Amino acid sequence: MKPLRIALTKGRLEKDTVNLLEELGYDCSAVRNKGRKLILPIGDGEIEVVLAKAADVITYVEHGVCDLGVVGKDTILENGTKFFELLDLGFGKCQFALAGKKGTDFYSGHNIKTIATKYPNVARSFFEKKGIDIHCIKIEGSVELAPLLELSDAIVDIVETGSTLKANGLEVFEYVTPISARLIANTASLKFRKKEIESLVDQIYSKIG
Amino acid sequence: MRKYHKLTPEGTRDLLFEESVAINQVSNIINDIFRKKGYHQVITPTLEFYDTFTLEGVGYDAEEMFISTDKKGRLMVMHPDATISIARVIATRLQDEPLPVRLCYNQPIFRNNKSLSGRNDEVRQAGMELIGANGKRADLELIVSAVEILKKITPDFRFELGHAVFLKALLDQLDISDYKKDNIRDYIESKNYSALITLLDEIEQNETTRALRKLPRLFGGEEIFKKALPLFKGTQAEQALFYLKDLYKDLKKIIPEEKLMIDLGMVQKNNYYTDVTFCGYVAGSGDYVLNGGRYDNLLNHFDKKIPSAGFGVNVDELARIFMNINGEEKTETPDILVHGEDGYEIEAIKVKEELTKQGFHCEYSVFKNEDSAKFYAQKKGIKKICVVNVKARMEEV
Repeated sequence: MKPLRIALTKGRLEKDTVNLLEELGYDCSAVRNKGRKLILPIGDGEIEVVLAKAADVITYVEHGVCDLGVVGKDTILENGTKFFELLDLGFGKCQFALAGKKGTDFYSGHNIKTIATKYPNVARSFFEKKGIDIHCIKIEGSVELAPLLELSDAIVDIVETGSTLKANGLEVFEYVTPISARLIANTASLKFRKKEIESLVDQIYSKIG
Repeated sequence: MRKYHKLTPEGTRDLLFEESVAINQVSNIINDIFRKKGYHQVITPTLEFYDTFTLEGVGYDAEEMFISTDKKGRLMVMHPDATISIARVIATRLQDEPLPVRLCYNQPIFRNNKSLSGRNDEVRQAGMELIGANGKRADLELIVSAVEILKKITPDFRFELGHAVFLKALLDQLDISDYKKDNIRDYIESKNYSALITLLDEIEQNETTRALRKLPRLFGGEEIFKKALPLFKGTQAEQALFYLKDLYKDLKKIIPEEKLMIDLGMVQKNNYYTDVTFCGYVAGSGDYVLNGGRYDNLLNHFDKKIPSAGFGVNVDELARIFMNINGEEKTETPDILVHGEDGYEIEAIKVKEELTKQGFHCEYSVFKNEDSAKFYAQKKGIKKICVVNVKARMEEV
């Protein structure tokens, strides 16, 4: 039997997921001592973990080369197309927020506002719902720089504690949507490996409630 | 200006040797089933008018298609769908045919997919359409044929039944714009659960929105009928549930129960389906490879009232799976290279034909002399050369 292949977003979500799987009694020592390996067996080899960047987790699951994936809702909102969202895992919690220089009124004036963001789709759909037209600029690194350098009027980004914003004289204008880690599945895998996937989901569900 | 003369556009590819052989093999299997079921093949044009595929409520979005113009500036598309073209043919050239009409096709369709998604924009699709018949007998004829195709390719398949009415019944009870309803449809079709929840959170909460949240998760085996009944009691969907249950009972006779599934949240990309819908999956493929259903209202758009149903299979994907299971059919190296010396070119052709008749796989040498012919044979791995002069002389290379 082929192992159930699950793609994890490298970094914090990977650690949280490994903790969760260990609590469920799976042996995750291979992932803990992974070295430079990217595909690792866990448990008795019935599950295989693949480590990938967030957006790639979605790509691998969508194409069915991985059966399951753990990825933040931020990535799903930005890149999501065709897969099945099974569970809210409850960790990796943060918020999408609209933020800018402290004390400024974002909505004042009639000029079109410029938004800097790593998440252009999220930003666009947020303002589309409000019926507001915006200019969107994609920034790859520290988005907080853009309003400071006056490239943009505001940013749409992930906010966890807000300390980076505060340290740079920025503040949250408005929260866009809450975010947390999700367990996703390829639609065909769900048909072929229903029993295995359901049993894993039930185990996780009973743990996180 | 940058030249692209050495590339093929993204989403297209050259199919060489083994790949094209596999496509032919799978096509033959499928075409053979079509013929034995009494379906008649048609080929519709690749280029059609934009209007045919943008019919109100059943068409395609402009950004999903490859669009061009004709000499008069009218919009043309590379057909993204075969069923709509067949509906057009039925309503026009075949309008006086006695019903039912059984048609089949096997031709490429074109979709303008999201860039860099790794999907093919040109996909060979084969399908059957049973026009002018409704009810269980018609549905069973199509479903049994669809299952037969999957079985011929691999024993490791899944077949799933759904019905368009479940979503429709729920959407009809919602007092929101058609635009939002379309969004809900799209999100359920792509199983984009988070976007669906976000949208449902924005509208008034009631029984219907609660049922819509549950709909994408209503898939599985026979137990689904029991789970779904309370959600649809007293609505038009209740009948559909009983119908599916009936079909399920029949299909259990030809499909092992673990391969037969129900998905009440099944929503097809093609929104012309009105009743029963179905999907087929094969192991090793990340998406469905077969889909179809009943589209009783599609012909209305062409001013005909004719109940119809059909399905299409992704030939390219089945060929890939077929190749993985059965191994690649190697392109054969010829046994003999037949070389005619100067003045004996036509004799060499005759010798080659004679050898072919005897069952040898021969290649005709186009080289100017024996040495270059031998050199080529060595490189190609052809074991023997037959040099033709007054007599034919066979030699090992």
